[in-house]
Amino acid sequence: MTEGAPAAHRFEMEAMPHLNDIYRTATRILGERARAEDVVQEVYLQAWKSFDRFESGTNCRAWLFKILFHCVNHHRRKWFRFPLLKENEEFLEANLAYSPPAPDHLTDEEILAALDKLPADFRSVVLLVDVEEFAYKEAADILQIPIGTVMSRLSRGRRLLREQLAEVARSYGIGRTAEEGRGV
Amino acid sequence: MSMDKNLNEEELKLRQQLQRAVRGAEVPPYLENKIRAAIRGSEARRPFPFRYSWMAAAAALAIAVFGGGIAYQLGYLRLTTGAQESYIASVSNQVASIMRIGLRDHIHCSVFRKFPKEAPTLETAQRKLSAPYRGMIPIVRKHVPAGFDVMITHECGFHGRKFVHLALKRNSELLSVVLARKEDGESFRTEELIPALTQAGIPLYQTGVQRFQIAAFESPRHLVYVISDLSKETNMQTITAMAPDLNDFLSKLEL
Repeated sequence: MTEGAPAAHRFEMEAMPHLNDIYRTATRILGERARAEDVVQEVYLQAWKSFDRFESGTNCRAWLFKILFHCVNHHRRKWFRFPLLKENEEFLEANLAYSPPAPDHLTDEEILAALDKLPADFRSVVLLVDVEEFAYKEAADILQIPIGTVMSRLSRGRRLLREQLAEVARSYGIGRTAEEGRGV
Repeated sequence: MSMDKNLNEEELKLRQQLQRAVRGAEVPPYLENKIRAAIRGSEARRPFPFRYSWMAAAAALAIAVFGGGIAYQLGYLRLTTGAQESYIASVSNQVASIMRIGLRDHIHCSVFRKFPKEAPTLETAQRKLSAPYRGMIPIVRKHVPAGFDVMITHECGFHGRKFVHLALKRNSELLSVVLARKEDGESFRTEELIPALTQAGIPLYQTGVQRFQIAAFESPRHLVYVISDLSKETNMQTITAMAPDLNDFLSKLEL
């Protein structure tokens, strides 16, 4: 697509194909479809309004995700009372010395339920890197955090996810407890 | 792409399961259409090239002066239903969903409504409400700031929900007391809102967007909102004064 093509056509070709990716990430981050739909609409309107500043041929998908997280951060300060990350980190340090294996037979619902239990900051990184397959550098740019923070949150997010899934397995009477794993 | 090579077999498997689960969500078709319509709507408002911008600014100023004058004379702005809906959505989406309920009704029924020139008598105002809700009018009149008149009382439906709405006016200032019947599981507590203060054991919630201040509390079966374009403090003082009497009234009603 060239710079000379009408903006609406360029937007349709470059931005609209990523709607599904933006929507499913918004749904998982916000945990509620109605809110996700509002935010996704806002993302696309903001993207459209600043599309003249978007350089054609660069990573439109990453640009849209950056707008998404900007909108989410703006709204979640109003909508939610998120625990501070410091609390999450302390919680994780205390609880994740042992990294349990994920059980074999998991339904999509069980995985999504476990994902939704992750603190929002960890969930964001897991979604960007593991689901949307952004590179660490891209995820850092989207979330406006240092790349080291992305790596640390990803590692902790994955461990916490396995812990949540192991809980599911334990509820089925499968596997050992975290204490057993730590040899406590 | 990110570091697949650092993942062991089990981690890769979990990652694939995670991708499958998350990617199972499809964007609803109506959202795609809604976004395209919103973009088309905003397309007309995209900035002109610089050389036309002074003409656009002059035209906009002329429209604002004359249009504003006419609107002022009429006492309200005549927007189309679509434009009203769009405005309501854009404003209310900036507050928590449980706060939107009252705000939407306030904008729909007070901001976009033509008020009568004279305040109705108490009897006329009461006749517009069904018998169980008539008793709330004297309570509201007793506790609103001086100079506010109850201009409209009605029971209305908006977006499939029933409301009891008292719209008050003091010069150009608006104030609404809105009662919404709770739907399943609705509560300020489940939305994890933090009460701004507690009056006589009743938690009071507060938020604001643009010129609208919203304060609210709940009874077992109703959500109660006081919404106005007063200051945050005055709006809170109003609901603080009103909440105990209104809560007693609703307690008896809900028996």
